[in-house]
Amino acid sequence: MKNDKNQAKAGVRDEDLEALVHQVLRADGKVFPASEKDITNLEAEIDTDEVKPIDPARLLARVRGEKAEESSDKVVPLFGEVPNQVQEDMLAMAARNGGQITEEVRRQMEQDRANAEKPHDGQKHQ
Amino acid sequence: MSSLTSSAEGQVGVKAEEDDLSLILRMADKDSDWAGAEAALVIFFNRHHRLLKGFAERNNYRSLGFDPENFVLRTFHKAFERAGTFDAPADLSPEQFQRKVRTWLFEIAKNEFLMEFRKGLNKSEETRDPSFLLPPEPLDQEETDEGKLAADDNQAPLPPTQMPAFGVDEEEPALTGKAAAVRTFLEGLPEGDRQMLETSMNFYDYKAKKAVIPKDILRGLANALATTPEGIKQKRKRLLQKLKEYLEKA
Repeated sequence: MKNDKNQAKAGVRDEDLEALVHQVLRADGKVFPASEKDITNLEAEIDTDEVKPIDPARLLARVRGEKAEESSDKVVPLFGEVPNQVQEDMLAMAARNGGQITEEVRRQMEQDRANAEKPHDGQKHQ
Repeated sequence: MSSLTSSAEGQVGVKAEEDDLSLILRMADKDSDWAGAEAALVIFFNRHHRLLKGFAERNNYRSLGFDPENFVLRTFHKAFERAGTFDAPADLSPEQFQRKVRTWLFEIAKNEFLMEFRKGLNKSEETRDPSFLLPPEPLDQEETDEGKLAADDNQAPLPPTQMPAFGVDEEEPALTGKAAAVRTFLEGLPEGDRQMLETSMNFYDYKAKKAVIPKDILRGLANALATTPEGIKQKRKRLLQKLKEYLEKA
């Protein structure tokens, strides 16, 4: 006890300084626990009922090598292959400037297509 | 969550009340019973993951670029892969066994934490650098640790921690009586300084009696804290000097 008092009065030796900081941080659960006593301290410090649980389905997806969270049918990759259907839809959307086609315009388009496909009289005999 | 567990119970006979040893054994046996191993993993995860997540949130690892949930998921994924390496004495009480399991999980978590700092750095260059340690004075175990750190990421070693001769759970008697003053000092530090000092103490080496940070991890840590390795060294040195002066006055 007397030695402790003398030690405290003299301050902490350089080589003990980091040991002291580490000891305090271990006791307070501020560094990764390395022993069962550290775990006991940490369990006393953290109320796990207050911690929001993580859905274990995310862990299973990870273990199975799935990318369930990252990928979705509605997500178009910025790089790499784009499916043909998506490409056609994107081109069509670009052609109409992102707008919707009205019923009247659609009828006109169908009429134009039918006319275009109808053989012309002049061409019939060629 | 409960539907996953009950579904697992119904199909592969893994019970939610199974003890940790049974669950770990099932996980270790994944090659012959994958469904049983997954069911065991879910129960094991539900039982333990909140302590680790709470730890990561409490120590504000998000400010170092860690998402606590991803960090937890990575740790349990690794635990699932390494279930066969778990070892414990046979005569432990259930409480002791649970603490043993959690110590093992936190070892894996710490390793994952270190790997995050190491990612993206040129290992072959970094691990040959002779100015390996923090503080820079050379230590006897430098060569040994350097060799360990050159290992492949998947076989990543734990940090170069040397356990003390007096046992990791025992306090060094000369250090008692100053803990309160250290806590007061730390609480008075700006958040960034405290975070840096606390994070660096994860690399404490019992034999050297100081933090020993591999240079590649120091680089990663510096990136995470938006500074340079030299900046961390200098800042840390100044903080410890201030602490020393504070303790002398206290």
